[in-house]
Amino acid sequence: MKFLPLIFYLFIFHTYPSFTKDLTNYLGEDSSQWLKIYRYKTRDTVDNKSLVINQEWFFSDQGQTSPIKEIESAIEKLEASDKLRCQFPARSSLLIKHKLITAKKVTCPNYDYFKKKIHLKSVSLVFASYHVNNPSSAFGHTLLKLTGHGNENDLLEYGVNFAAVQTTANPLLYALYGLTGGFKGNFSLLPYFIKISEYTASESRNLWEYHLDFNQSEIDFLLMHLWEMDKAFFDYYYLTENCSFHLLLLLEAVRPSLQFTEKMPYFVLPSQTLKVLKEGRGIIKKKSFRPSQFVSVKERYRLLKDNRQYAFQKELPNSLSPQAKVDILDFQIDNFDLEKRSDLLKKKPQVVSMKRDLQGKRALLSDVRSQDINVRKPQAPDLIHPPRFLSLGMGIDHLTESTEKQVKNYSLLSYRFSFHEILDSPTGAPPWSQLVLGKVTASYDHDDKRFFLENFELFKTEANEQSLTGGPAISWGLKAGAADRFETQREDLGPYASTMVGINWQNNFALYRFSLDTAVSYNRPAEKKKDRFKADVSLMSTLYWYPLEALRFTMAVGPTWLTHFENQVYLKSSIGARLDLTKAFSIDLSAESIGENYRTTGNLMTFF
Amino acid sequence: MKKILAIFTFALLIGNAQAGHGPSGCGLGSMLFEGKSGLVFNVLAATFNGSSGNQTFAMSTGTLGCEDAQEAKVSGPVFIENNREKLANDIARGQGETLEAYLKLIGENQMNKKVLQQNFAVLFAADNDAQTIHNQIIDLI
Repeated sequence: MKFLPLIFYLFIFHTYPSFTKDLTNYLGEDSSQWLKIYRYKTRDTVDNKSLVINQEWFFSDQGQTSPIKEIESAIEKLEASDKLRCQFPARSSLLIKHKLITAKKVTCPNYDYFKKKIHLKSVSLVFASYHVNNPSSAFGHTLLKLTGHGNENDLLEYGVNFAAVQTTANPLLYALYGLTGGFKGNFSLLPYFIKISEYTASESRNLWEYHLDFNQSEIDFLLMHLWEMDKAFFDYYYLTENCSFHLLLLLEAVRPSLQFTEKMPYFVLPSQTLKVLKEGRGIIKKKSFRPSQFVSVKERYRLLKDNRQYAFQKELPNSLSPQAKVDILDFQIDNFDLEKRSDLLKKKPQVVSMKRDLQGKRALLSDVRSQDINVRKPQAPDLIHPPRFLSLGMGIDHLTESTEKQVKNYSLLSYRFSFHEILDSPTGAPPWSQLVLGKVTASYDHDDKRFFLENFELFKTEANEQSLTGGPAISWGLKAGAADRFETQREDLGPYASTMVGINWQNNFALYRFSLDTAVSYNRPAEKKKDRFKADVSLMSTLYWYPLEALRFTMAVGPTWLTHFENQVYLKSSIGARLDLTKAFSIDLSAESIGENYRTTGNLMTFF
Repeated sequence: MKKILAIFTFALLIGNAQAGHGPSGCGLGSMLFEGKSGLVFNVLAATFNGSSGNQTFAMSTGTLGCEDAQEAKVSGPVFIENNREKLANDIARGQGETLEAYLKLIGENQMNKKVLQQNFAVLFAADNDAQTIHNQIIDLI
């Protein structure tokens, strides 16, 4: 009897399933690759559940949860069926390598057609830069570019995209499905020129290409694995298991030592996955850059130099040299594409006719060569700061109500989930833009000895568009959340929504904006319900100034009409300064005032 | 509560679908939305980094509508249809990436591009579709 516990423990130890150990018996050092190609053992699996959701992608009924049952079934079915070997060449190659199935010549017409079409030489990860005007593309997008032998022209390549299969155009349902896995996601193959057209022309996004250093056998394996992934479906989650997540898993399946799964943050921003890619031990061979249509047109405008006065003229003076005429016509043609893209795609006859006139004039100048567009590369998106920050600081409020003055001292704690604000480091970031999701600020009042929730920014987005010619361009912004109004001198945390519309002038170091800012909020307490609704309308002059890359300022001033202060107009102003001590630490100082109420804060921030 | 806030946020953020996408040409857009028009369908076809279930078999069958079955390459007329304006720009200039790509596609890398430039008005006459443009270019060669 006394040996029963020992016998019991030995029995459990002997029979407890050890997936890795048993797979090693089949595949040796390639067992981890087998798990990766099946998407087992990622950070989101429990009991080795695969991320692939469609049962027919597995050989075994229990294949989704049992790698052992799956490999046993794979051996049996791939040994017996050439058709299945053609459908799953990557799995077959691993089993053949370890002599688990017979090596034999199999004819696979569809796969051979696919191989011939791609004729794969190398692979790149492409990042389409941020598109703040389209919030679902605001964080950027990643895809793969497949370069074929002898092509040397992007327009002849293929792109591999991972995206959600959209089943609704309803915005609320789209949001619900996108966040909660209501869409399926899958891989697809498209001619790369479609993606170039979509991103650089239609959405004016730059493309960054990270050339990957795979050897020939890895290239061959990638193609086989991609073929297998054609029929794999996944749950799509906008914030976690999105395009970037799945593309990195695909690369990891080709070279498991990259260990991207272990390095990926839980919330996957495309720009952050570029940093994960950089950690992949020499996987990046080089980087290249394809400018957006807007950037190219801006460069053509710059090349006009002394002839800019003629940039928008229909009839060009004969006194201009042929080269000058060619430069102007080239600018006008590309600018026409930028401004009239939608009409050109719809082939509106009048618009097309205008375009053909321009092109016809250019064609007559056949002895003159167009200037090459060599755009100065902006800083690469993989250099962007981390999306989150935590800050600790102090604040002082000087508040005036009637003739009484009050001074309040407090400590501050702030956290931001994502992504970028104007005073953050501009390196690699969308220029003169803000996109915030989930920022919370709490304070501890030293006099009252209490904690307060000061501000919760649900989201904030701001875009200050650029003009081709350096003139004024549109600015807009939206913000919503809940805030405690400091000027009311009472606890009145309540929801708000605000908008900003204006015009701006900018260069690389500074931006000046004149805008109409409006806000509505609902704040308690107030005796009368109607007094709980408040509105602000302000005409603001704002300056953002970056004298150095590590030092940035913002200043804003303007009259503001406040309904909750007896419909009076007050002067509203703010200043802010940010100094980067290191890549991870910054000091932030700010002050703001409304009427005779002032607030100053100082914070130490860490980005992670 | 958190889910409601997340849904609300996302809806607000992405409810303003970007206008200005045209037909997607070969592949996804033309297969799904042939005969349909309007902003919603064009937006669905080409935006939000999205795709459609019909692309499920794109890799296995290559039937995006883009390829020449024998050569396993995108066909000339389809290339022209999807790159019409860029190609027209390059032919008017007698140079450019899109023109280089098209000539490589049809196996005529060494062609004198000035011939196309000098015949720009004929090639891109108002009613010429992609097939007509392609045929005329072949004739010029």
